[in-house]
Parts: sequence; structure tokens; C-alpha cells
Amino acid sequence: MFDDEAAFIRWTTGRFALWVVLALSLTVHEWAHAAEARRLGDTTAEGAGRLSLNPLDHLDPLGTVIMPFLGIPFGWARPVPIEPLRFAAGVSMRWGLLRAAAAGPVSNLVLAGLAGLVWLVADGIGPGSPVAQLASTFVQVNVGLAVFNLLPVPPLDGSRVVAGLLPEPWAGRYARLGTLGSIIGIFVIALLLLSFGELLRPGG
Amino acid sequence: MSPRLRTASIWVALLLMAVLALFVGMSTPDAPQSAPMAAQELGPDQMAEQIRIGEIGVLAIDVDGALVGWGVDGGGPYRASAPLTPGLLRAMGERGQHLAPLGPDPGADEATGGDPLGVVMAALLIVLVALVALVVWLRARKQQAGAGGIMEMRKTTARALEERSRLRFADVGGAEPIKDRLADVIACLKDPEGWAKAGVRLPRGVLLEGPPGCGKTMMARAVAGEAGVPVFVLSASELVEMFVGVGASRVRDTFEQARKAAPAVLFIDELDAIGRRRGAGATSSAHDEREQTLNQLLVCLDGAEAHKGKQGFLVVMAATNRADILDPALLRPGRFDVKLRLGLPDLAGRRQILALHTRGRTLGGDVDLDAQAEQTEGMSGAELELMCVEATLRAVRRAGGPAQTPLLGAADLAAGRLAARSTLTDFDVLDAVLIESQGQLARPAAPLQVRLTLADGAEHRGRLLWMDSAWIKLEGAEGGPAVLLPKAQLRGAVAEGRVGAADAEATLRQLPRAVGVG
Repeated sequence: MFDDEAAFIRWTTGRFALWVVLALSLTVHEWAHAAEARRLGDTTAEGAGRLSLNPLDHLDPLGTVIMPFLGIPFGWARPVPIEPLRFAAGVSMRWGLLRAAAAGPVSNLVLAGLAGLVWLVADGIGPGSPVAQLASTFVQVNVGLAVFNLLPVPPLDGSRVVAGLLPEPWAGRYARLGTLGSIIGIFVIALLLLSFGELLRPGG
Repeated sequence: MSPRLRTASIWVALLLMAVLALFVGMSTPDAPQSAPMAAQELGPDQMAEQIRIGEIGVLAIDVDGALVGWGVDGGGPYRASAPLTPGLLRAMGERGQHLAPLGPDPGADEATGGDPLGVVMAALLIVLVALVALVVWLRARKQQAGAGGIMEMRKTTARALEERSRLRFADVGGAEPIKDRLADVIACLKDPEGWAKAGVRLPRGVLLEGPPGCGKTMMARAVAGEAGVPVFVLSASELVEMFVGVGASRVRDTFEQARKAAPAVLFIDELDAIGRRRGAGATSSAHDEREQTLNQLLVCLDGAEAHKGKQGFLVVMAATNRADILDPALLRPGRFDVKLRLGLPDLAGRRQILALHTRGRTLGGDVDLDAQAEQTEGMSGAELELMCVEATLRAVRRAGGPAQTPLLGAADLAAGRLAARSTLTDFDVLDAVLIESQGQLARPAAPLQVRLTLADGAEHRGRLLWMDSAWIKLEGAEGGPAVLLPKAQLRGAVAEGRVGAADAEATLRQLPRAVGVG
């Protein structure tokens, strides 16, 4: 599996760093959903204790812990509950849901941008330093998460954004895809994973 | 730790660990490459000279048959540009140098040393163990956060109110005889072994009975406070559940928990919720659960379980306002063997309670607590407290805000009394009237001294407290005992004493009508 001990250590430490980045990025992603929903007047997520940047409040045993630890550079967290009916007056359910759903990927893009700045600075001071490596991992993971989550496939955030943008009759039909949509979605994801694998394999 | 701080520390810790991991990964040196390094070419004679003076050692033959050596100072490798020459061999012989065993290079053994498969297996094992631990931990966390399973449900809901109750008897107004009686219990709680050695059977259960708001709960907490032991408070209604057996196991769990902290007081509020007479009414599954819970409570109260092993001394106190419907098995000696009735406070008790609740407030010059106590006959401790709270509220409002020192006047207390009383709804009043059943209880609006003449010629003087259709209660003159006089024998009534004449006249005019004697 490994040519020698050094390669193994490097692989392990790299995997650990990747896991940290993934866990923190997923946390920010879920927090952003909760925070945007709260801003729009829906306190469901806050009530469920999800308006928090603590990774422990968001992590999913399988998606955030086991999968990345097994070396699969991909993960997910527990979805944040959002109740469109509870949005403030003046926020339509469609528009509100779109914003709350988009907040996750957008937060990842913002995080990627911030990490990019850190990377520029750190790499300028000490090229290839651990901080620079970590920052570049942040950039890759977050861009990957944002792109992946914006895929317009039902379980993902992108599907809600698309549903919010589609004209009313189409949105309804799109939303009703439901289970069938998810099954199609999984195929699409698998396909994309195979073709865009590089995007989702930061530091790999 | 505040949640915010915890979040921040988790972030910092994770990021630091990641940087550290990357640093470790980066600073792990590469394994020496097995590919031959570019050797420095030396002429055969020059090489022989270097070997002779000891600058080059550890020699080998490379694939081309050329002699290769490493500098003793770590330099090299050096390679002779021609095959072995006699000069080279002589030089080697002089230094006693031999060709090293065949191998790519001398350092390679270290790098490939160890069993790579073993390392991987060990790492995998560690990761596996960590994963299992993590999953177990997450499960536990989830269960804690969630509604809890059936196992959680069986746990007690009794909570240790305070490790040490700060209530003292001085904080409970009135009820002096009851305090005297409970002093024995406190003495036993303070030194259970001593009293047991003296041959005293320690009290196990105390049943406090009485109307609501008369301080049953306070009394239990005060007992614990006086004795300096923890008190566990449990509401009996928490023991009645949908599932048969849950209540019983909660009882067991509560007793276990309390015994661990023994000597302690376990207070069961509203005992009648489970203590109802068994076998009464229709048999249904709801009764099964109640009866099972009650049976468990009886067993736990019994000495057999109480003094098994080294379990400590526990006094169970229970409160009810329906002692009449309790199961007789609960009341027998050995279970709740001390039965105390906490009734409505008497005059002295009311005086004390009012003093307690106006403690720390500035009382106006027109306030006479004795008079207030007289005017509040029939009010419970809780009502008196509410009266003081309302009065204070009024005084604060009048003083213009909480920043000012409120002066509690008699008018405030009167308004407070009305407010406390008016919490009774019309329905409550009707209920009270029906309970009194014989007729309306009449009470003079102001203290009224009367002289009553009975049919047998006996005269009774005193303050009129109340009367109903059958009885008149007089407070004994000069601190004597109160008397209850049957109205049927009343022949004459005269008002006397210090009240206004008009008031007395008005009250007296009503008296014969209420009495019903000509």
C-alpha cells in the first residue's frame, strides 16, 4: 500500500488535515443555512441548536466522521431543518427557501476566498509551510463543496435554488420528483464523481 | 464553559492539530533513494591515495566492475574511473579494507527496516478502535440529547433540590406544635446511630396533612435544613405513567438515589396521586399501574429494605390534602407512623407569618401586625404571603418605582388582603359555601367584643371570631382558650369593648337574625 513509512505518515497526516478542513467547512455550511433561515425569520434550526459553529452540533457519524476517516475525501453533515412557513412576513416561501439553501454553498465560497487570502500570505512567507498547505486544502475543499452542493439534484442545495428560480408550475413538478429525483440524482452524482473526481479530491 | 468559548476552542484545537499533522508529514525525511547517486569520478591512482590515507572507506564494486567508496567524512560516493588496479588493491590491503556485502548502498537497510505490513495493520487497528469509540460516544450523546429511551424513562425524576436546604424552622411561620414534634425527627437525622443505639426506633415516615398553602413542602425542606441533610423532592404525580412498571421502578430508583445521600429527607408531594385506597372503584389498567407503584412504595417504606446492609437512614416525608382517601396500608405504624396535621395558621401563626413576609420592609406607623393577624382569620400561609407581596407591590408603585424605599402602610396591607382573597373565583366561593353546608360563615367586619348569655345563664365574653348556622366562636378573653358556643342555647348578645358604636350596633342587629333566635 505504501512504499515506506514516510509515505504512510504523510498520507495519514494529510488525511487528518483534510478531515479537519472538511469537518469545519461542513460546519460553516450548515451554520450558514441556519443563520440565513434565522435572518428570514425561521427559528426552527436555532431551536434545534443548529445555529452554532460547533462541529459537534452538526456532524453526522457516517458522513463527517467515518467516510473521511476511511480515506474517502468527501462527506456530509446532518441537514439543518428549515420551515418555510415560519419565514417572516414579506419573505415568500420560494424566495426564502432559495436564499436559505444558497447560503450554504455561498458560505463555502466565502470561506474559500478567505482561505485563498491566507494561502497567498502564508505561501509568500514560507512556501509550502503547513499553514499554507492547510489554507490551500481549505480552498480546494470549499470550492469542491460549493460546486458539488450547487448541483441541481434533489437532495442537494442546488435543487432548492433551481426550484426557487423555475417558474411556478415547473418548480412544483421539479419538487415532486422526490424519490425518483434522488435516485436519478445519485446516478448523476456517481457519474460526476467519476468525471470531476479531481475537483473533489483535494490534497489526494 | 460557555458554548461560544467551547466552539472557539474546538476550532483552534482542530486547526492546530491539522497544522501540526501537516508539519509532521512535511518534516518526515524521504527514504533514501535506491537509485545510484552520481558518483564523483576519481583517477585510480588518486583513489588509491585517498584509500591509503584513510579518507575513503566502505568499498563496493558497482555493476560496471568499478570500485566505489564513501568518504569517511560522509562525502562521496567516489568512483574509480578504471577497473580494479593493483595499486587500488594494495591500498585496500594496507588499510585492511574489504569489499562491503553486495547491496545498493550501505544506508538502504535502515530505510526498508521494519515490516511495512505490520505498520499498516497497526495503523488500521488504531483507526478502527478510534472509530468504534467515536460511534459509541456519538450514540451516547444522541441518547442524552434525545427524548431518552425506555431505560431513561425508568430513572427517577426526583431532583436533589439543594445539597443542603437553607430553610430553617424560623422561616416557617406558626405551627409550633408540629415543629416540636418534628424536632425528634431532626435529632434522629443528625445522629441516627446514636439514637438507634439508645434503643429508639427511628421514625421512617412523616405524613403531613392539611389544606393547600399551609406550608407542608416548606416544613419538609425546613426539617432537612435544620438537620443539615439533603432533601429530595418528588411529586407523586410523576410516578403515574402510561406504562405499567415505570412508576414502580421510579420509586425504587428514587429510594436508591436518596439512600446514597443518606441521612437524607425524601419528600413526596401530593401523595394521594398514588396513595389512593387500593381496590376502590372500577378495575382498569390505569389502576394496575397505580397499585403496582403503591405496592413498590410500601415495600420501599418498609424496614426490610430500609436497613438492608449499610444503607443509611432516610426519613420519608409526604404531603397530602386528602388523608382520608389514603390506603390504610400507608398509614400503619412503621410506614408513615408520624401523622401531622398542618391546618390553617392560628392567630399567633398568622402574626409570625406576616412578620416573616414583611421582614426587611419598612412598615408604616399605622400598621399593627397583631391587628392584621386578627383580620386574616381563615387565610392560609400562602394567602398571607400573597397578601404581603401585593401590599408591597402597591407600596412600591405608590413610592414611584423600585428605587425608592417603599413604606408599607395599613391601607396597602388591606388592599393586599383583598387581592389575595379575590383570587378566589365565584366558583371557589360557591364551593366553600357548599362545603360549609350548614350555612354561611359570618365574620364581623371589625374586631367586636361581645358578651353572650346562654340558656343556662352562663356568660361568655370575648371577641367574636365567626359564626355559622350552628356555632359561634369566641376568642377567650385575656388569652384564655377559644370557646365554641352552640347557637341554639344563645339567649342574649351584647356588644361591648373598643369598637365604634355604630359598627357594633350594625353587627348586633344582624346577630339575632343569623342566630335565628328571637
